[in-house]
Amino acid sequence: MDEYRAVARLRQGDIGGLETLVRAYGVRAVRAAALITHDRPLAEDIVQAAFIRAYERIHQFDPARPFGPWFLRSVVNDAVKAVTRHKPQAPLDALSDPAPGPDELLERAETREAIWEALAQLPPEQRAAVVLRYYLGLSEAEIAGEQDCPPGTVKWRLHEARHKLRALLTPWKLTANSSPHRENYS
Amino acid sequence: MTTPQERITQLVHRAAEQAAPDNLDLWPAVAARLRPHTARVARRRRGLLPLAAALAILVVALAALILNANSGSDPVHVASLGRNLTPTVSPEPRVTPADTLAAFQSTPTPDVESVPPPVFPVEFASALHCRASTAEPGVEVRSVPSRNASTVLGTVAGKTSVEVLERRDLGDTGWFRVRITGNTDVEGWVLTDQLEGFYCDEGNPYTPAPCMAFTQDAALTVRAEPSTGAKALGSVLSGSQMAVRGLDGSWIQVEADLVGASQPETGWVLMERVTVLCDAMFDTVGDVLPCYVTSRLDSIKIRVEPDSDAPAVGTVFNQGAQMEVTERRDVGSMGWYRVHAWVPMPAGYVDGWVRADQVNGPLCGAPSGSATVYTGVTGAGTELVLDVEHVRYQLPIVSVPGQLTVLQFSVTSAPDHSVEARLAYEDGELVAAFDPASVTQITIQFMPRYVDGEPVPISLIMRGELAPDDRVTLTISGISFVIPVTPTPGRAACERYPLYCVPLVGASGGGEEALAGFETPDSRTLDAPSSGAPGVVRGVTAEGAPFIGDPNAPIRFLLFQDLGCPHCQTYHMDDLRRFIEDYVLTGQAVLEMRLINAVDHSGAAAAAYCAGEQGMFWEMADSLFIPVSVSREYQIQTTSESFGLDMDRFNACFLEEKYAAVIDANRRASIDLGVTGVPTVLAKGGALTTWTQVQRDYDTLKTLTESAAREAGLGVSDLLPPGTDAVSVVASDSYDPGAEVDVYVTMAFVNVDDDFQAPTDPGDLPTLEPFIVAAPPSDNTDGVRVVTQRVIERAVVVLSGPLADGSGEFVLTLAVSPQDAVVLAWALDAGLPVSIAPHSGE
Repeated sequence: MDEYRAVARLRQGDIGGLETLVRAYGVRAVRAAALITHDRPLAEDIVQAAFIRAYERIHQFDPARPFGPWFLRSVVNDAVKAVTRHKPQAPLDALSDPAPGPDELLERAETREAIWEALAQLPPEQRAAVVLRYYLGLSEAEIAGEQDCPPGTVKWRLHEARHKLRALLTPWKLTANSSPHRENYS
Repeated sequence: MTTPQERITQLVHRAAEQAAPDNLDLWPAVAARLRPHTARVARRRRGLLPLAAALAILVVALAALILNANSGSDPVHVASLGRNLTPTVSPEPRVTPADTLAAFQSTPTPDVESVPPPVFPVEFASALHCRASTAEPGVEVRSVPSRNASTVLGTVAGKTSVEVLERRDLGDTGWFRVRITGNTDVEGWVLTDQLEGFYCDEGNPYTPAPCMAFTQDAALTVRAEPSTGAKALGSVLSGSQMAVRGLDGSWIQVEADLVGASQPETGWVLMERVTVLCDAMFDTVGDVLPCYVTSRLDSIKIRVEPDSDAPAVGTVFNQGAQMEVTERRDVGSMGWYRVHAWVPMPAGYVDGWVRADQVNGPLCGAPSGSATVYTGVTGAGTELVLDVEHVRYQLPIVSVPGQLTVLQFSVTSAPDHSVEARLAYEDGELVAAFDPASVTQITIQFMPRYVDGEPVPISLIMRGELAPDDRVTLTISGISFVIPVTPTPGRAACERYPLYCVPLVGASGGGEEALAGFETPDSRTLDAPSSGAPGVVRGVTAEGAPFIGDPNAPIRFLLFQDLGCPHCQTYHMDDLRRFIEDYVLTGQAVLEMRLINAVDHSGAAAAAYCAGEQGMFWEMADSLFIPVSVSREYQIQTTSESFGLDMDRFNACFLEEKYAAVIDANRRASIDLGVTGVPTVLAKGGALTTWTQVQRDYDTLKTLTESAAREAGLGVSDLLPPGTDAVSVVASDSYDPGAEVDVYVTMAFVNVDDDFQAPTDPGDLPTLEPFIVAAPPSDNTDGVRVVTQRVIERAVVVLSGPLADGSGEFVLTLAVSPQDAVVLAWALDAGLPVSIAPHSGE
């Protein structure tokens, strides 16, 4: 059963339609949410709630549109909200201090932990922008629509995010706190 | 090599995979949450039912009250209110939601289970009549399904019921053609997500046309036959749309609502007078109409085959770059378009395949683009040619036939410079000319000329006394390009880059194989005498790094550099240039440079290496630091052309990424050497026996070079203070360079009686060699007396080192005035005992 039929069945009140959608999008949604929350149980909770909500509000959904992108985007929004709520003053903007040394980063650059931890250092909106752009494959314009902000803001968020992840992208560059005579720049 | 974008995508996906396993099953949890939840909702609904009914009654009563109050006085408002209520009061829809869904599929069918997923393009091919309502206030109704090319016909309030006539997906964006009836009927396009509450019944069937033609800003004559001489059937107003039914040469058969006619008529219009938009149906119309896709990414590779592993023939840069599509092919799950596209490296058109998911479109119809953009700045400072076509990739300019195109440019040059400008089509037809007096700020509006639907290329030629520092700013459609006026160095590179004008020697000591044939003597003939001291050359070290300097210099500096980094540029332009001039070209130090791509991924480093094959490594690297507002690819191309390089060879080198391995090796070397940022300078020589990171400022490099020179006993003359000469003496003690010493000489004085002794040549005097220093001083004025005298005060020690004979004595090199040098040289020559003592002060 494809998602169009699943949505149609769901609209008719058939929970089997929801099951199809959960199996189709559950893992991706949890992953997207977890990238933002850094909290797998919280991510699962967000996604479950989002499916319930989709079930309740399926009649507001334009069946001509694909379900997946709409759903995944709503999960990303929920995840951002959850993170912001949990940590009202989340100082996520600041890089952790002391910054890991270049060698340390170098060793870990290829590992999953590195990007995982690097993402944790970004503020929630930037994380969401990264997830939307690089995991869910949205364009910057689409992200702007999703995050309800001008495209320039999205560009800036992605730029900032990339800048902060740069240590991973070009592992031989230092992050902050390098020797004073050798500047590093973006 | 992966781009940062690809890399971050990879990394994010990896992190995502880590976040949750593939086999994670959420369904049980969701189902568990769902059951009590649905039960609760159901209970609440039952409980609320009476209240809801009461409310409904209240609403109806209120509505009746309002209707009565307003009737007669404000019929428009009433009508509007009535429409707004439609979706909520519609009783028992005759169609199910599934039917509504079906209405938007390519094959309408009432059986929900057999509805196939929509395939691109989603066509609105329904026999149903559909209505929907606007989701939010402020929905813009546009003349054509495009955000950019359309005009806004009007804005609709929220919850307004509209008639949905057609769905059209163009690229990523879905559009509905809607009709809104009211005081004035409006028909136009809205975005799909601006409508909700679809409701369909079996109304008027609608058959969509694969392509729609839109008139531009003028009314258009529709003719009976595809010929300008054919009978005119009538005309359509500007802003009209017509279904395209056929094609014949440059004529389109349309079904048009003619002015004054009661029903659509079929006739012919000239293709260039309309804008044609089609779905991705170029299989049928692409033979006649050109179709385009536009890049969704910053860069897209064009490949020789529809296969991600196939070699690339070029890269299209910048989002929105247009490529003409000639074919679509689906390979596995991946769609591919065969495109004809302009690429900057090597500059020109290529044919190849791009992935469907990396482009938007296709849109078919009248060609767009290319009426405006410059290509290049050539000429040696007196003539500037801005050729319009080449930067097509940089900025897709849609110049619509029959629409004014605005070009603006300004020249910022010294006040006494004057420039005349001429804008002309390639066949020589003059568009506009400007006399020298008024040329600093120009706005040109012109009507682009089209021949057979193709825009005629246009170029802007400026002649005048432009100086190398002049800047020309060209503004097209509000976007400005700053074009540096770069004199053509060509083979006359020494004039422009005297800093690197030294003989080329290629790989020294075997060199690294990867850089064989690099900066070789026969790759280039110097057009001027060497700027360097004898012995100063440029070539490749045995370790495979391009170098400049005297290979025998006592110290070497290794610079890790990135052509895309602003700090690197600042450093290169200031401290490094001074150092090259003062210490490298004088033969005191060798500078090696390894380019890495820490920041820059534009291929600038590769371009510099490719230029090295033609003896232009240093010049290219230097010039690619200069920031321009054009794209890097364009800069590389124009710079290499302006260097007079063999472009075929250069492009081949660049495209096959010949030096990727070298640049990669540089990166590895940087890691091995502990380099953590760019620019970084390492030094070896003098006291530094291995490559050691040093501060990169001029003073540090200078100090290191000078101390290495002292250690090597070389380059004394450069260490001497102005106006001094060097004299070496043997001393019993060592002194630090820079110490001030006094020089004592012991001499024998003999009085000469002019009356008694004839003047004599100094050579006739008895030798003083066996002089016994221990001889007592004498008051006998006629005799010989021994005098020890301070002959030089405050001589500066420039070098100091142990005497090689193992005597434990030291050799000092002193900087002294020329007169003192004569005295000291005489004393030494005469074998007088010379003593050195620290300067005693007063």
